[in-house]
Amino acid sequence: MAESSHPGTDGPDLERRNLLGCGAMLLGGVVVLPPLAAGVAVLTDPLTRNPASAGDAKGVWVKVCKLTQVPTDGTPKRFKVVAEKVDAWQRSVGELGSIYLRRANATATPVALQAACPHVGCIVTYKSPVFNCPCHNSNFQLDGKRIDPDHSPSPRDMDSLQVKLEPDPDPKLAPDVWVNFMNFKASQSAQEPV
Amino acid sequence: MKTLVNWLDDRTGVVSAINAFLFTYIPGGPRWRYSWGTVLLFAFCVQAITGVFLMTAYSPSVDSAWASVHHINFNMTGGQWLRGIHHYTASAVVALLAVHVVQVIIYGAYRAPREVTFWLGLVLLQITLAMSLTGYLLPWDQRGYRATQVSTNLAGITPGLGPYIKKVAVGGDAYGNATLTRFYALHVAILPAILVFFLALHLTMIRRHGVTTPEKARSSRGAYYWPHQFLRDAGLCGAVIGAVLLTVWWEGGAELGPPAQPNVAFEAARPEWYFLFLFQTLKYCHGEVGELIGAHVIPGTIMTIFALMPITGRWKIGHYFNVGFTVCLGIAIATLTGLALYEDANKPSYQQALKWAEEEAHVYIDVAKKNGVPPEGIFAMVAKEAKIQGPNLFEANCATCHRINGHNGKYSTTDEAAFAFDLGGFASREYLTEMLDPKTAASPRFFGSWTYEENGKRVVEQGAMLEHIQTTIAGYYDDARKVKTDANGQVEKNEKGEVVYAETEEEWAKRKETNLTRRTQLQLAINALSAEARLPHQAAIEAKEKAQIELGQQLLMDSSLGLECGDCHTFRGGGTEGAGAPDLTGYGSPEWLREVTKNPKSDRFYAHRYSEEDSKLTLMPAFGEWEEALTDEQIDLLVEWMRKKPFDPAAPAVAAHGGDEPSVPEAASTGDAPVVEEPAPAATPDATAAATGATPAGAR
Repeated sequence: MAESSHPGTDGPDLERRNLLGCGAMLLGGVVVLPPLAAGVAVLTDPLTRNPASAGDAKGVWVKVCKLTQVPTDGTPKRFKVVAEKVDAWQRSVGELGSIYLRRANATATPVALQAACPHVGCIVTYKSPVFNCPCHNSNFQLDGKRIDPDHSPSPRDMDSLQVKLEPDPDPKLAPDVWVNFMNFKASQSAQEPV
Repeated sequence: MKTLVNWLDDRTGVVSAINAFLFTYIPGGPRWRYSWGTVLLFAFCVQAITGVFLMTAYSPSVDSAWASVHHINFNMTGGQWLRGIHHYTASAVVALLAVHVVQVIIYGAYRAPREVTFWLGLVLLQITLAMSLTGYLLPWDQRGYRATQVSTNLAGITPGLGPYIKKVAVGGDAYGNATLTRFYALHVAILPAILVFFLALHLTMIRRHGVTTPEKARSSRGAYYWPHQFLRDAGLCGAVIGAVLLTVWWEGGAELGPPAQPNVAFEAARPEWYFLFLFQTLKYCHGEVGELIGAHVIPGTIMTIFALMPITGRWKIGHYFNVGFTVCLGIAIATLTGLALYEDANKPSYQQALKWAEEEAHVYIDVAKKNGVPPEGIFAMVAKEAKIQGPNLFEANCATCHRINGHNGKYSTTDEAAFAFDLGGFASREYLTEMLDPKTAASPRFFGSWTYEENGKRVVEQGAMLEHIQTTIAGYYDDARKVKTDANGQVEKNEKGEVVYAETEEEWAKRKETNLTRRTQLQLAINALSAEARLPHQAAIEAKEKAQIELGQQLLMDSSLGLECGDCHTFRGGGTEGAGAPDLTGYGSPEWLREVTKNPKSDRFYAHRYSEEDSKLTLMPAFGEWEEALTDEQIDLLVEWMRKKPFDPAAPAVAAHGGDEPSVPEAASTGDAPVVEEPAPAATPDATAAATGATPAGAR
């Protein structure tokens, strides 16, 4: 069909046709642009959005437990971090993640470690006397250091979080343990908040 | 580059195919009229593109559909545009389809050898309408929900398989999650797949037969599709998408109604504009048989006539018939659509329902924007929202007797008389001024609503307060010199024919002065009483007029100063106890309103009315006593809403019932109230009032 042997078509002015062809292509491209642009904008909405209140670069201070709930013999204990969170259209109070709290003795302030493995984010479990990640077998000491850094799947040690103690309004009760909770980028040797 | 293109073409033939398409020969040259089909195809592509992107953010569940659409529309970057383009292009598709069909028929393009092309087009038309119907439900708002109810019920009356089709489409007997997931699957997968299949066949037929060239053009010079016809097509596509974008911009995106509430009547339910003619047709079809005729027989007959057109069009007369039929159908659809719009425009109840729906939608949208949607859902989100719960509770509990600005809380008015006061702007300065004005006190907004039936007629109760307003207070406004009348009520005249007065010039002047003082006092007392309500919108002026309000409080309490409020009412420890009139302390305040709602029978309020055994009035129930009535929390929401509601001085109820427009003294409009520059604490209320507030009475 592409042959120009049809009767009635005259020898086209090539330059004019090229110009028209360019214009036609341009116009054809322009008309499909609006729906595509709106779609891509919506799809990439997460990139244009500021980090949500939870787990952003600054972290969020969350009351995790009473100090007395943390064992005094150096055994780590896992706690859920519960705070307000935004999930697309839904705003609710829910779990942001979990942490390990551990203190060497009754007078020490607890140390907090992110329970998510720095490798690809599985939840690290405590298998006395070490932390073990069930996914790819990274092992960590109780202070979060990798046991065999040269052969560990995890690119860095477990992530520690800031801890502070706040006295309970009722002086008879134990103080509250607050943790500055945040998530960190996985699979990189440098610790960087999400 | 060229090598790569050749390599690709060798293996796939893609390049040749594109070339073959672009260099399709068009006998007679390019025409605008050939573009309609292409534009329609383009609009389908727009729907496919925007639709797929919308899918990435939409959630088809009763709990989250509205919330996710809200999120797309108001929170996501470009979401308003994406949804707007999808929504208005859907309308454009239907309009373009109509144009496409009409021009195919007028130019006889449905005749041999293009019969199959035409039939495939008719199938595509049906699928498009089904796409539109299924898409309308997805935001799960009141409108979509009601429209779906109608369309599925109509499907249900199809003889034979109808009930089964309906049940499968709805996913059971009730509309809910299954309806949404089914309609969603239909809208995004099943119908598009069928559409693409038939579209492919339709396009193959078009490629086979080419365009229908008018006979006289057959001899003239032809051209290839590229670039002249393509330019026309692209230009028209540009115009369509431009119009859509303009509409999205102008309308601020697609509308999102209030979320679906299965148990709330929704009079503003209407289908999309292109189904209005069917909606209107159903109004004329009565009973089971009528409905069947309107929903199935008529549309079915029309579709059959269309389907037969390629056959009837073989004869010249048949073609004329087909063109004539299409034109008549177009006129009929336009007329029915116009009638539907005209009827709605002249139907107050529809306009009122629409106004409330818009207001309700805005509250939902704003609350979702501000607080996000909780896991318990959208309705939990507004459970403590006075703007939603206030009207709901007022409509359900109060509107049988009361009105608010003449309506039931949701703008719906009725011809039935109210049996209690209109509560719009209750206890505001404007409200009390009108209530105590002898001209308006007996209007159905106020004391005129207290009626009972006697000899088959409704009679206004002549209570003590109304009597007081119509005699004592009315006297404050009577500045005319009193004349002597004889036994027959005729004005006496002396020999010269002059009127004989009952009072001397001095007495008259003195009375006028007293009247002026009383009117000023009355306004001061009204302002003081209104201040008891602590209405938010009067806070500023009340702070400014502190001294006058204190003066007004004295006037209210102490009847020896002129006004007689304290003879029956109690107020701030003063007045007369046990005289049977409600306590004015805190009148209209949240606490006062809550308590009067809970127990109007209390000694503090209207105890005497309930003790009168022969009271002819319908009395208000004590909502606090009665089980399943209002909880304290609900009463608080109701009160909050009533007090927040801006008072609308142009309330239609007054104009409709009152006859003469109430004239509000100028002082009552909050801006111009008299201001005491330096309060004179030693002066008697009479003197101060006369000295400072001549304006309110003078304005009369």
